[in-house]
Amino acid sequence: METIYQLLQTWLPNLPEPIMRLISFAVPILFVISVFPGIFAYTTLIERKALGRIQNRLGPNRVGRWGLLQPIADGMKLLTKEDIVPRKADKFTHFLAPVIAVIPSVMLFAVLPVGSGLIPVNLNIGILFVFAISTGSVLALFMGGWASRNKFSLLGAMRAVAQVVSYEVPMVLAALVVVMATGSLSLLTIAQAQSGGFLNISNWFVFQPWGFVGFVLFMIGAMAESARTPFDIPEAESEIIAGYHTEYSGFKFALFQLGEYLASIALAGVTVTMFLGGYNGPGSHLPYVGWLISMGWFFSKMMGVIFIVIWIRGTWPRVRVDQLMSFAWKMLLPMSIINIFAAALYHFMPSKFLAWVVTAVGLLICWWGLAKLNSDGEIKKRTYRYAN
Amino acid sequence: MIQPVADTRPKGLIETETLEVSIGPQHPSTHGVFRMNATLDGETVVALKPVMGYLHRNHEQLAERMTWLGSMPYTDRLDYFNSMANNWAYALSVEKLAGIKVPERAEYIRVIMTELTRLLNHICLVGFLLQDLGAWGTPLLYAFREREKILDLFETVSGSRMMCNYFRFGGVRVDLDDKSLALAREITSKFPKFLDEFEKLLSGNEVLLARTQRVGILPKELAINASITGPMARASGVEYDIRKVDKYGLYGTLDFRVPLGEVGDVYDRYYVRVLEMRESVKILNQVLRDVPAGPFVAPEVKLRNFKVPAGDGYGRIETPKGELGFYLVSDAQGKLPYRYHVRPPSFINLTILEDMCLDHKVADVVIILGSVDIVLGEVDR
Amino acid sequence: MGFLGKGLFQGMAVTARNFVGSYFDKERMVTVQYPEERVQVPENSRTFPFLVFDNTADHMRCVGCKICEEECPPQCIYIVMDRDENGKPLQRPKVFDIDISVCMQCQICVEVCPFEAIKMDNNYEKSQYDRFDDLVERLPDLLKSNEYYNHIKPAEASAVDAKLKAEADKKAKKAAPAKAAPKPAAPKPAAAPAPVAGRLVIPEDAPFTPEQRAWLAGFLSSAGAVAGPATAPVESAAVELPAVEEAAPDTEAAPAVDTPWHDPGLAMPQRMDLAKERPLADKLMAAMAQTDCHACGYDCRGYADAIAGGAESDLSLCLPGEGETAGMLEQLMKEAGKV
Repeated sequence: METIYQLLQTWLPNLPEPIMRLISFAVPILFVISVFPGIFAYTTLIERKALGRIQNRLGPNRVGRWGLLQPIADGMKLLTKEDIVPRKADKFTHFLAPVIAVIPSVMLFAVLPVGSGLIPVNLNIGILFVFAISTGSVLALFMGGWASRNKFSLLGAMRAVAQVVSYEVPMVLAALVVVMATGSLSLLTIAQAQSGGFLNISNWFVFQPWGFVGFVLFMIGAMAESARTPFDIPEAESEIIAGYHTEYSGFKFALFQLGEYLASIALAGVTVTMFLGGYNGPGSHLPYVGWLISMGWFFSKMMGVIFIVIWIRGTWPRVRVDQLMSFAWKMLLPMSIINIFAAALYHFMPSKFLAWVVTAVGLLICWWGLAKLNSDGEIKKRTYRYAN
Repeated sequence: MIQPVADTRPKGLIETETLEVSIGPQHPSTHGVFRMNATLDGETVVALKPVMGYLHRNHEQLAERMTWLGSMPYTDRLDYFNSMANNWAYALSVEKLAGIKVPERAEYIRVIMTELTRLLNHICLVGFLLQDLGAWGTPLLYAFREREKILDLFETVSGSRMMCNYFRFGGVRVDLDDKSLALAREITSKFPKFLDEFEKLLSGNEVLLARTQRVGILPKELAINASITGPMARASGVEYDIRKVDKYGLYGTLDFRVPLGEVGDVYDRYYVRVLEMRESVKILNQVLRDVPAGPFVAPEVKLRNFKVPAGDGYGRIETPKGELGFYLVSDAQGKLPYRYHVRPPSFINLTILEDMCLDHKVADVVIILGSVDIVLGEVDR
Repeated sequence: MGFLGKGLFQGMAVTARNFVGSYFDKERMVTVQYPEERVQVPENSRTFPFLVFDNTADHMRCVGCKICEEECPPQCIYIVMDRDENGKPLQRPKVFDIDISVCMQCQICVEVCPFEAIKMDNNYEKSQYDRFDDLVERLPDLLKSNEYYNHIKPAEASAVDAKLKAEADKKAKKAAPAKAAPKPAAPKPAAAPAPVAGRLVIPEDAPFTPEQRAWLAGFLSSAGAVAGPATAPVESAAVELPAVEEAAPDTEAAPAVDTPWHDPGLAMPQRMDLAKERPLADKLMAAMAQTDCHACGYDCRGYADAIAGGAESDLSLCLPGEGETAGMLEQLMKEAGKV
């Protein structure tokens, strides 16, 4: 926003002040509203086609060439469906739940730096804002389950709330490492801290051992937050039909999906910013075209992360709810705390190379040790005997 | 109607209520129209009663008004995944009753078809189990890709992919020509590679291990007492395979092993089936090597006016799901069965669903049901 | 709940290989985009039956012997034999309906047909908009040429053609006088296919007693039939009504000739009982299968007369009757001292 304001002041100084302010508000808002839901729409298509290819089949390819108009067809279908509200449901809550699911997800895009110097709102508490807002969508899950007046929905909602709340803790602690390294909560500053170095790549935090572990933990947390497999308990179709959004049809269901996917995309964007260097890449520091190139890098990295999330969805089965909780509290939480210590150790050791090796080895040992401690010795490969 | 279940557990300090939930009959994962009335305490199952009968089609009584041959297409539809195996069980029972001897080439063809069916069934089961576990379709579609090849072979041989109606009393309906034999050899040679890829996808997968080990344990004595047969019993350690016990068909002369499990949980049932698939490939390799020439059906058996001498008899085979038996009673006239009873493995294996599901979570109920490997056509007949 | 993650990544490698392979390897992309592309079904594939004719539709192979109707497990075939004005059976079916919503595609009708007349088609695109009438295939829909049969199933059809040719040669060598061409060449009635297609149906829930239904059905069918014989009312009494099961489907011969055993629904002991006090020719006729199918080259009366008169010495020609009839004929001839 400030960038546009400065640009306007440089190139068009004769415009009155309020109009300049209006333009510098409107352009980022329009950008966010048009680009990110467009990405959402095509992410649904990419997901279906990618899952199809993994499963040796084509994805949708009938509506428009290569299925490119499929999201529009889906949207139209959902809009024209009858809106069924169960008779004894709590009408106001039933109506409000999808709305509350979407709003936090959209607000997350306000603090995402899409290019060098290009961020809609440069809050100096960026990361805090991200976590605070994404917690707001938990309320929507529970409202959805409660208002449907359906036993299965209630079960689903309770499980969803438990899952989201428990996975936020390791996520925040993983993000804390990056905050420690850069000393600032603003996402723009974090992205700027990863610029420079060889081809603008070698400074990415993911190449540090604590950054790598943080990246893995944050990705796991992000997948759990947006209820993607292997953590898709809230919508575990084979067990409780559709969980908290069983009783929603038509546009309200579309809003739930929108909220979930937008959260997933936004958290992918945050992951990219914090660990994968944000908009940094070869050529993103060039004077006149640097901002365009950096935008290209940001979006391609974000789509790469989204592709990995889709790939994981196509491969792994779902975790059971009590295993999910114990995984979060017994494995991820200790690991994230150990990661903080490792980052501190890295910072204070004199030789960077030695620091890298020591922290890498230390983290590996801790991961292995935690796995050993947590497994009760029962999960192992078995041998089978044969009769006669 | 759901009957309230008396809660006999010792009461704690906090008053809790149990939730009665009906899982099914419309449910993506109950393998057909099948209903379970589950009583839940939080997420734990306290009681579970299966409700069956949604697919009852009166098969046993229909057979009493049709000739012996006319029931053969109906047996395809009992366990609609393994139509060839059902055909063999029925043909075996009638041959026992009528004293018909089957020529050797027909025995070879029968073993080939049934072992291919065993491959079909087990790979489908693994696919569906993983679908229930939440892997969105990937293992299932890989399994169906292989299944398609075998189904194409069945279509080439018998004319129909699933409802084959291929076996006749005293042999098979048409001969297996060389093209089909070559296709069968090709399928068998490619199958182990596919199994290796499948196992790499799944058997080391920690999420799978965590979800299926120590879940749904069936103790060996309970399995024997409840007449459980098939891979489910063998996973609990019961050494009983009808192919080795009765030695029907060619199985007396073939060299294969029978895998056994120890713990009897879902993972054992899954892995015993994977090992059985490898054994089936071994059997197929032996049988496909030299199929003798000769008649493919006993020449003295007529198609029309086929009469079976009076008496009763029970014939059974080891289908991929367990022991499928036919109890047939023929009266003096001999043209129609007087009584025709099917002993379906899925139905008998379902009777201990409750014992396996107690103290597990709702999520586990679905995968335990998946590991029992039921087909509603057989359960309800 | 702890794991190291190795197995998980192996799984991801497998799916990655499938993903990449789906662009290059035919084995890994098995989709056939129907309806632009279709899977080539194998030769033996079977869906629903059809009737074969040689050369023209008048030379259909089916003689209306009703063996397939009897053997069909779900009873989806309904056949009415075509008769001329005197009630004498022509060797062709007047009505041949297959209800494909009932047909199980089991192929038993094909196996038991002695005349290679009914074969399995492999056309699977048979959806209709109406569930009841549109899914009943009648005689004009079912008749397809031998060329079509050779086209869809070359190996099987050429084997059938060879067999029929061999039989025709054998029969031509015997050169019996009372024999027509091996294929039933009926005197061409004016509108053989046409009136068959238009059949009036009395709804199931119409409030008629069984006797009223029988009369009404007969009245309607005689009103609609063009070349129907005089015995049409009685014959169509059981046309579309599953309720009237006691009335045997063909009571055709009952009013015309004094042969009460001439009913294929009766079993052999009952038939012989009815012909107890009759001359030898009648007893021989009672031993046949009573379908007038001309498998032996005569109708049932003609065959019995030929055997009794000494013109025919082969006792095993009755195909529908099979061994039962042959055995009874031998026994009767032995008893009569004619061997």
